[in-house]
Amino acid sequence: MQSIGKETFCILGRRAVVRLGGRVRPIIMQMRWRGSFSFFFGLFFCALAGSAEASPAGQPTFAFRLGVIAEKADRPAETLRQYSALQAYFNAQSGRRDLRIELVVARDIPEMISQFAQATVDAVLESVMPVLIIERHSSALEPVLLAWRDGLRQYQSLFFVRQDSSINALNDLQGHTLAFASDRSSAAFLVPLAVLREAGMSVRPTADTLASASAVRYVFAGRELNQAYWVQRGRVDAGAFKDSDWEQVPWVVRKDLRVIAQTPALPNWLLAFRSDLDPRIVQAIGRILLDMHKDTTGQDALRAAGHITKFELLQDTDLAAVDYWRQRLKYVDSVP
Amino acid sequence: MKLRISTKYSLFSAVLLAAVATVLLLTASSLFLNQLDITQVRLQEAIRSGLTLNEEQALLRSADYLSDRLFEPAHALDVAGLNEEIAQISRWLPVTSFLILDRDGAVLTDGSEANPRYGDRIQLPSGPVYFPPSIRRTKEGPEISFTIGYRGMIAGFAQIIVTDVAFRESLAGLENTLRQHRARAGDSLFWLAILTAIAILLLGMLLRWHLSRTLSQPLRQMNAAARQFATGDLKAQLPVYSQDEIGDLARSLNKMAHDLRKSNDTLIKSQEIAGLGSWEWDSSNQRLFWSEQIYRLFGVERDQFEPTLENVLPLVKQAEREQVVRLFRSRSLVEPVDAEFTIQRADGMERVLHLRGEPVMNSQHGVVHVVGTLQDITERRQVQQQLAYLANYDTLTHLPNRYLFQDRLLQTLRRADREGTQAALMFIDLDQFKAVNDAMGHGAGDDLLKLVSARLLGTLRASDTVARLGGDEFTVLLENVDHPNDVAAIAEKILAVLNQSFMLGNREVFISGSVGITLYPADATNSDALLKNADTAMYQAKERGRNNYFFYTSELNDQAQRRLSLENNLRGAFARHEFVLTYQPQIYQESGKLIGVEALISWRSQGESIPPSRFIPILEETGQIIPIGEWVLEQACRQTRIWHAEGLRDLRVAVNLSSRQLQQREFLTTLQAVLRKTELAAEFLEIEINESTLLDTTVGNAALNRLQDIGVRLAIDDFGTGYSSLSYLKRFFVDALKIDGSFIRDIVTDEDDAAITAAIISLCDSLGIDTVAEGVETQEQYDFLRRQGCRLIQGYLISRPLPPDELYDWVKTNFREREGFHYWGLASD
Repeated sequence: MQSIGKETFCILGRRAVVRLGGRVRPIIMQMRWRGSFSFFFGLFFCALAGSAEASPAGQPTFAFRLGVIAEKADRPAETLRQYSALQAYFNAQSGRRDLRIELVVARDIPEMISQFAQATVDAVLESVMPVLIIERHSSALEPVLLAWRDGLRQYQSLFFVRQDSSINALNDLQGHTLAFASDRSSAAFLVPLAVLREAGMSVRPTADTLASASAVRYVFAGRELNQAYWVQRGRVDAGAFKDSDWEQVPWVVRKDLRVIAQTPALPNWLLAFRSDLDPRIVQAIGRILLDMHKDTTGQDALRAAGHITKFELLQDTDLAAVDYWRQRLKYVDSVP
Repeated sequence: MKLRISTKYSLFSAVLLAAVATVLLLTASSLFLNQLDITQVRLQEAIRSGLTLNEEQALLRSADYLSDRLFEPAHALDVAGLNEEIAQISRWLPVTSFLILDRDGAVLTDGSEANPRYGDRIQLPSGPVYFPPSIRRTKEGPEISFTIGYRGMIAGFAQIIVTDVAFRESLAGLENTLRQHRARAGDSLFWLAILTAIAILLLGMLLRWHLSRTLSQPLRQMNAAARQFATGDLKAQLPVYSQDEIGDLARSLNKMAHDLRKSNDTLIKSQEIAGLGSWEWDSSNQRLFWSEQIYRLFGVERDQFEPTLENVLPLVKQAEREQVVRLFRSRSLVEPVDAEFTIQRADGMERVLHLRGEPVMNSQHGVVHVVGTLQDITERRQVQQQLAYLANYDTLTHLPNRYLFQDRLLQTLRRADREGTQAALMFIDLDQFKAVNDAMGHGAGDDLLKLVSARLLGTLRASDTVARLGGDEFTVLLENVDHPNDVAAIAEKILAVLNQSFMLGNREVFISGSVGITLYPADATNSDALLKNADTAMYQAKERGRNNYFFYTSELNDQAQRRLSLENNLRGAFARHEFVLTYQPQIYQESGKLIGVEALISWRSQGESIPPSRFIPILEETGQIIPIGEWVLEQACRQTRIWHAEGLRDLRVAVNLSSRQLQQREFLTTLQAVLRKTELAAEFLEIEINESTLLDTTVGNAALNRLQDIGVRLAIDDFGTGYSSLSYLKRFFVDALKIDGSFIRDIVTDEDDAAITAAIISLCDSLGIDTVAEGVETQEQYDFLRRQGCRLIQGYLISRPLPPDELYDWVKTNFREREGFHYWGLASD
């Protein structure tokens, strides 16, 4: 199993503080070197709170536009329905007439990028890689919160093959066909894609007739579970998805499979705000989201909105992991 | 327990209704539930078969749809998509087992995450080739198998077992529903029964209330009223609630009470008027009930007096209590009761009560009670006593009257016969009583009679009987007379006490009595004869100068017989023209002038001349005086008119009239008719009446005064013999007084008579009334009268009464005529 390095997690924090304004900046800087994230975060929110209280009364209502990418591109309404509970909860908890949340659903990452480009979205809730892709295209996105999903704070992507396969390492995949889940999946496409390419392999779709014979060819199975079945039934040679998906594969299938590699861990989901968003608004939104899992209504709303368990502030390690993958984002640039 | 009629009827109705309702409910319930059970079974079968058929049809129709739906994921080997499809299909299809097979017929997925049957080979109806949807029944339910294919392309197969749990549940639910409905129906029937029972209860209560109001209550009220009526209280008035029979009954009871009340009021009033009360004696409990009137009779208040014998007895007079006790304590009270007793009421009044009662018996118990009346007969008793007294006693003197005397006389005679003793009967007539009565009035006469009675009673023994037969006639009955001398002694005592003066008011009056005595059995053997004898003897005593007593003798009886004979003769005398008139002349004493004549009647019977003193009283008694007096008047007037024609100028005639004539209403008419008939001027007629007639109040004063109006003269005859009231002379315009011959007879020798005569003459002279001296027989008398100034003289000295033809001759012979008038020769010239 390969291990992927973690550094410069604080970068995101610095950038975020910069966004908050010069008054707190020296303190943030000191805290960064001390490595005490919690202290930093406390001060951070104190500052946000102070700013928020200083907000003049009678301010026009601010609609916080949360961007999400439809899980199924052809069913954006379903996504809206999934997030409607979160939206209702948020609006109920905001307690402020001048702040409410609106959902902006994009069918895919490019559309979300476009939304950001048009400044019609204030934040996006997605897995690491899509967020980084959008960030790279908009250059004005800052991951602030980490979202736990299905009880997992972070995950790793696994590469698996049939038990009786001759493939035993990533490099053995050359000339073989790999099944990914979908093109917007971090764990089951972007991350393994980046890993494979970082390892120097050519990874091309099966439809690419120009690909070399050694290239790792890939197809989209649509779902992680299909990846397992396909591998097990020999339709493809290998598959890659997050470690939690591995646990979800039926035993009758999984018993015929084996993992050959895994990627470094990365945060499960991220909530990234537009960089030019008023910090007081970020603070207000963050305070609500961070407390959502503390009551059952909030828990239900989170669960409905993509199996989210809770939100928490990105820690330095998280930022480092994000940054790690930000560095490897170049390997997936060629993704159609 | 006594039930009200409303309760009884309502209970009966409620029970009847409950029974009917129970039978109906049970029958209906049985039929209904039975039908429900049958319907349930049929319905279950029908639904079961219907559902089965429908389900299979539905499943077969669903196969194509499912094939289309599953084709794409199956073809793309999208197990996750297939799982999602299975999950979605399972939401609307009750799937027990959902297997997706690959083209080889191995299980691709069963829809679960674990997918345990993955890879299992499944037997398909016709192997892993296309086949049409088919259904097979399994234990778990219908199993449908179909090919997942599109246009000949097979992506796999599907084998779905649809659970019939839902079906069974549906059926069970249906059955359960039916059971519930049945149970509900049972419950409904139960509640219907409860409601019916409540309704019946309410209906019963309503019925009871209605019956109570319309039947029971009126009946109770009527019952109470009837009980009240039974106690005698008829004031109750029943309300009339309805117009039905109850209302009619109430009205009838009200009318009955009203009629009874009215009748009772009438009865009470009648009883009150009659002083009559009713009572009832209950012999079983010795209780006494009586009517309101009896309380009044006893003078006690109803609410303060309990009508018991013990309470009544103290009111009964002591002497009569034992009688009353016997009446009500008698064990053999089987005969009608009739008794009188006296009570003393609380207010002290004594009342005599008449109690009558009759036992009411029945065959079992004998006398049940006694009902009767109690009447206050105090007044009746008093009236009876008074009537008895009036019948037997003289109210004035309180002496036995003629009726009682007759009874006593008979008793005395019987006793005398039994004992062989002698009895005496006295007949007493008061002398001068008529004069006293006439002069002093009847009141004085009554007083005199009472005083006489008292003196007689005081004179006689208690055993002797004194009675008043009428007028001034008394009788005395003496028993056990030993000797006539004893009777004579008593008679003398009687005369002696009668001779004593009587004080009438402030005047002293003297009378005497005449007593006739007869003895039994010596003089007569029966009471009538005895009375007649005594009467005869009394007359004899009177004739003997009054103030005498006389024993009856047989001679007296002969005299009486003669008088009777006289009366009989007198009845036909007028018809036989036996009466004749003679005229006695009257002359002026001073001039000797013949002024008139007095017509005097005489009766010649069987050759005997009977003086007027004997037959005039008989004529008056028999009433013959009226026609005979009228005849006398007419004869005298006619004769006088004849004399006038013959030359006896201005001769007037004096005619005596009795009181009986003057009492006649038509007297004046008769008089005027006679004057007209005889053509005699009224001035030549002089009516002579005696003092008693003048004073007789029954004689009309107006008639006497009318005489003057007519012009007829009025002369008072026999003046001085009675109670000579001079005031009447003034009142009745008397023209002349005739001094009675008894005074004239002794006028020369008796100074008293002379003084009286002189006084009368003087008085009349002063009053301008002529005085006529009658019975002048001697010259001495004539001289005395002349000296005294008496104006007119009549008597044998001038002439005896002469028949008319003789009178004219006598006048012509003895009178000298001058200027048509005739003057007596004896008169001083």
